[in-house]
Amino acid sequence: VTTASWLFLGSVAFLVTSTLLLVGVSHVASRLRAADSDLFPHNHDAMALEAGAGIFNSDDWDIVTRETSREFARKFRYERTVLALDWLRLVRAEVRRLVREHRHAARVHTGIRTVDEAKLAFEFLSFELSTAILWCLVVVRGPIRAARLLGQSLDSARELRRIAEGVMPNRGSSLSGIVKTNS
Amino acid sequence: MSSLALWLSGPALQAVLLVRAAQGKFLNRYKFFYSYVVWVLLQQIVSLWIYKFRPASYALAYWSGEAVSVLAGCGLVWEAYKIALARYPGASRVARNVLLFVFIFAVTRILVHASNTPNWIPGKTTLETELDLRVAQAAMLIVLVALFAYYAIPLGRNLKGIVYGYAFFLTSALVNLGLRDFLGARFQSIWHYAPAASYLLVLFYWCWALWSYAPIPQPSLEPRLEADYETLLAKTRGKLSSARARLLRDTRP
Repeated sequence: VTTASWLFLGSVAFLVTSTLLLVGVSHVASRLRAADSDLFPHNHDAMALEAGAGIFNSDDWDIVTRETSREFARKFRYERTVLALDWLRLVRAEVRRLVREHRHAARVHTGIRTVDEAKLAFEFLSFELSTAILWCLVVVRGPIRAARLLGQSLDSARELRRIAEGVMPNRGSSLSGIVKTNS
Repeated sequence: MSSLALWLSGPALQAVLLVRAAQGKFLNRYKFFYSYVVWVLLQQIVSLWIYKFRPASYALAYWSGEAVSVLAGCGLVWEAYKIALARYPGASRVARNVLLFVFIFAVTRILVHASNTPNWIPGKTTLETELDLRVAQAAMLIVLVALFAYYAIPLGRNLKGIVYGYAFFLTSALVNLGLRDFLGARFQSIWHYAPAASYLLVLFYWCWALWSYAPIPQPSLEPRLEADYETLLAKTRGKLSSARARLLRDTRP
């Protein structure tokens, strides 16, 4: 058995696992969407919505899990998940519309700069990727646990940044940029 | 018999493509594409003749013809770039810079690869050389298609057919060449049929896409009218970063 065969087998296994994971997550998401969808009005500005902070806030979730039955908590989590997914959809749609408008305008601008366009595309891609990860987390763990996980990841990133700054005090990094945005 | 049918269907479909374009008077609109079709048609006819009457020279004729086909394919990609982006100076500028970068990268890669061979020949075999060139061509086409998609450039049925048909042809050529290189003689029996069969599929698609002239549609959306690019970029980046900050703030538990 050659190295190429192992590489081939590994790639196939990776592809199968990723496909199964994707199918599983989309199945759960479509089940969640089936009951309620488009909860927020279509013409609403997602950035102006105050719902986001409330959806991921854990205060009422703590009360529900402490004071009510398991069945009620399950239903509560379900409703909250549907709401979170719809809010996320709205935020993503808003950003996509913004970038689409930019691209339509930029494609005819003679003063366009390739490097700036590449940077913007990268920023948009990282936004899409992070919201996709958040979307998967919300589907699998529910909005409250997803937010906690996100918080823990950011805390870890902040800790890493502190360590990195200790090693290289004068160097900025992309990691520190991400953490700075949040703090 | 099936082999002969494959050999004959190709030139027949190419002749149909040329006749339709001549009838519709749009040969001149896609000069490089139809030059490519004429070249492949001639190559096939001459190859068939050599195969029958001068079999000893067939390998040389085949690989020399393939080298010219690669160059003609580059012309086809260049034509797609010129026609599709003619109305979009911004996207055209980005495409030119990115394609130049990819081209320099691909040529450097081939030269570095070639410098490692004892006789300073790009690739140890003709097969490897064609594989290298096709990879470079595919990379450029992928970049171009990605830019068309990113800037939502309308292509129209004709140009879409040319670009996607050629992309399919390149993909199948890469798979064929890669498998021939990797499996060696074991792939020889399939090697005789696979490229011709996949090219036949491409020709059917081209016949459908270029049956009649279809102009490139006008852009449907009116662009935002910022005076300069800096203002436009600053506004978009500002809004994007505020959306990201908002998302991070709102998802705090």
